[in-house]
Amino acid sequence: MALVLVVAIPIHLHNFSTLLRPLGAPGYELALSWEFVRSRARDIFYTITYTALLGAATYHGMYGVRSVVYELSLTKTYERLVSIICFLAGAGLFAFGAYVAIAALFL
Amino acid sequence: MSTPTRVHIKIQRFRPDEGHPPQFNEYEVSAKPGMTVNDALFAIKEKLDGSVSWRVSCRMGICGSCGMKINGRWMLACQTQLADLGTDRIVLEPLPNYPIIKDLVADLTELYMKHRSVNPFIVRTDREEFEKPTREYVQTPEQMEGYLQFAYCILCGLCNSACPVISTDRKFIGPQALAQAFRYNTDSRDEGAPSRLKVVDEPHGCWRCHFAGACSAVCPRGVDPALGIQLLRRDSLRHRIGIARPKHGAAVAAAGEFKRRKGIPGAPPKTV
Amino acid sequence: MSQPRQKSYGNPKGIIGWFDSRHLNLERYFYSIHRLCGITLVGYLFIHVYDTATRLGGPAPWNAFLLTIENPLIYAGEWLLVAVVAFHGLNGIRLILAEVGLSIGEPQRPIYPYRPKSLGKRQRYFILLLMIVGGILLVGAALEYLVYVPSAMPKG
Repeated sequence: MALVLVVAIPIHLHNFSTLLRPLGAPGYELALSWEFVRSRARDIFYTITYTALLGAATYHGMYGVRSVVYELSLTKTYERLVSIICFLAGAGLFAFGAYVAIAALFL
Repeated sequence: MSTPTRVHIKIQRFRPDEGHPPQFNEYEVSAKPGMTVNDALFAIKEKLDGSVSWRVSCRMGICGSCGMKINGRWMLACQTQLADLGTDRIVLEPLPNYPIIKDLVADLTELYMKHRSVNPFIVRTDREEFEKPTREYVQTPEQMEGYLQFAYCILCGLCNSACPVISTDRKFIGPQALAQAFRYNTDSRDEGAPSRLKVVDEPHGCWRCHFAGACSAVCPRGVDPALGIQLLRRDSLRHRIGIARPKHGAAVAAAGEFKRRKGIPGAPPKTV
Repeated sequence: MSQPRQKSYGNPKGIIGWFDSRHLNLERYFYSIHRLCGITLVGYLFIHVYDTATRLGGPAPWNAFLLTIENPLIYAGEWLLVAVVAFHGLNGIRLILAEVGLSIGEPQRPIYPYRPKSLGKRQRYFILLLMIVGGILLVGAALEYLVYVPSAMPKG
């Protein structure tokens, strides 16, 4: 998952970078303008990649938070509770993000 | 660096029966060239305050008893020259992450229990030969080099004390035990790797390590437990995905298989 | 052992032990920062997904949102974010390689003064390489935020 992110995040940032114009980035002033946002939102490629990026980032992040909290010497009940909370928070975030990505297809 | 003529030592004192938190007592002793922190502690105990307590045994860095924090660094008191500290003000504290019994004496029970949990001994299936040996187990120098570094561990406990994970996670097995698990798994004479991997291949086993490397940085014997843990993880991964490298087990030498070189005396006759 | 144990006097170190890396090695500092960066990024992830959901409202809320982020403080925060992502990612690559047993060396006989291989030359050169890559990313991001972005801001 971490490796997926190492590749996906630079690609995500590249969209918004002016410096990388020679590599095909649209540049900051264009990338965040409504027209470009709308055109990206309607593009199924971006929907899929944004959803995949969100999934990977959420998984990696929630797993990390869970590991950090596990190191606090919890009892088995609290360990389970932490796992459930992390899973629900991650699932919630992913569900919200996926909904936004799909709803944006109809902008 | 030259030895200062007098050193000012602050020692963290703690008496369990007194019921108040640890506090520092200050002492001043004269220092001679070649004096170690251990020697300074003996000078304090002999001349200034006989109640100062710390663990000491061999005075030569092989027993692992005198681990403590010296000016914030994890060190063995017998191996630390006063001249090397670069100051005449010394602060001595017991090892963190262990309960304190008294003054500079830490309770290392947890260290030993975690060490025991990884079966730190050769495990073999040929029990008869193992318990009543009649021949030798053959091991090449290359096989020995694969684990020798980790066999130098003296169980001083500095690594577990410096580990950031152990500061909150008491269930973490610890760098010392994990390095010893790797040492025995890699030993060609050992056949206990599957049972040891069951103990270390756990969330609070080798996967809890984050390679901060503090264990290797403080090890006074150069054992490099961080390396042992990463290699152990590599082995666990290989074991899990089914590409474990077969270990070339130690052969049992047949009687008379190895000819003794000329001029080397044989063993004395058995007395038992 | 019949004496009572006082576990609360600085032993164990607790959460402070995660971040107190004084007198220890470079990788230990990296561990502390990696942890902080990770927690920051999780928080940012939630904020980012929520913020960018504004685009669902149409052009007006989106442009209003863009106006709120056209602010030097936000740009500085975004540069810091690039720094955090770069550090966490590059250190993460280093950790992935170490944890599968690459770039950390093989066991060797300990000879005084003991220099652990896992913290030795190979790791150090790799860290230097990663720091150079990180530095390039940071300079690039600084250029973006100091030069290009303000010039793209609507005048007036």
